[in-house]
Amino acid sequence: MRKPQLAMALAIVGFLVVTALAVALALLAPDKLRAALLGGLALPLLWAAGEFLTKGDKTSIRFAVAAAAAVLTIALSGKVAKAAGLIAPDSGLSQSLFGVASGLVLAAYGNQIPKLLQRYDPTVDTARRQAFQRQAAWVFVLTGLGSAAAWLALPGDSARFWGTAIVAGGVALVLARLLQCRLRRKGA
Amino acid sequence: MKKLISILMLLVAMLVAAPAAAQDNWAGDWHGTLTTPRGQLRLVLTLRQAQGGALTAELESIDQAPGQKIPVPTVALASGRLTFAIPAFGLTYEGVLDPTGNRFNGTVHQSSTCL
Repeated sequence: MRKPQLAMALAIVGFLVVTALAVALALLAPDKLRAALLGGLALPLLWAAGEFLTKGDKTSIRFAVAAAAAVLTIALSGKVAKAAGLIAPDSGLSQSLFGVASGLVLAAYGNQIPKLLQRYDPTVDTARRQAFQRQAAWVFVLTGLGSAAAWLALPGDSARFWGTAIVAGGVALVLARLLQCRLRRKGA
Repeated sequence: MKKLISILMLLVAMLVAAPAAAQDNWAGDWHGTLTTPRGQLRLVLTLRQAQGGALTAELESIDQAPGQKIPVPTVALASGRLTFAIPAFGLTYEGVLDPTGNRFNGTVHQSSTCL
């Protein structure tokens, strides 16, 4: 299957799964209707916005829709499994899986975030910009993987602490480096 | 533009999904009715949950001693099962959370009596 077709197929499957889970949650647990509505409506709205706001090839947008669907699927399936009595209501399983998925999404998209941070600043020296982007991309990828590993390996409370701390540390490091680059440029 | 929209899309999805994935907070007042041979007693169990998830509790018997909160030295919630004990009264409780997560069904034991 070619890349654009694969992206479209994944986005459609993700959309169908998220919609089915949202309907199941609304039927099984009417008191969780807000979560069902938010989860069920988020994806079609985001997808529509992505399609309307961009021109040309939409493959990257559809891969993002599929990734967003995976994140929503994990969150909603945990709620549905609890409502159906398949897992204990106080189980931290869905939170751990969501933490792992969030870490993996950060790792997968980590190399794109730094490009956005300095994209619209033409005054920054190209070599310095590329060095910053490379370092920041590595930081995001490593913190994403580290956070996913923490959620996977550690028990509930420790996972929540370390999973969040690793990402916060990575973001702080990148912002400090960005600030350092800007201060140097102004001083130069 | 597409990268920005892709990342924004994922961020919004995560923000929407995070509350759904988050573990439920059990803190608050849990109202119950205790059926005894002498009639029904209304009880309120006030659960507090620390940042790390540890539970503490107080129990109030509305019909016997309104406004008087009895500290509960032992309280635990694991695998959908709530247990608490007040050794001073020889009282223990064990209840199971129902699938909606809004109600515990269980039994109070006081000394050798099952209520």
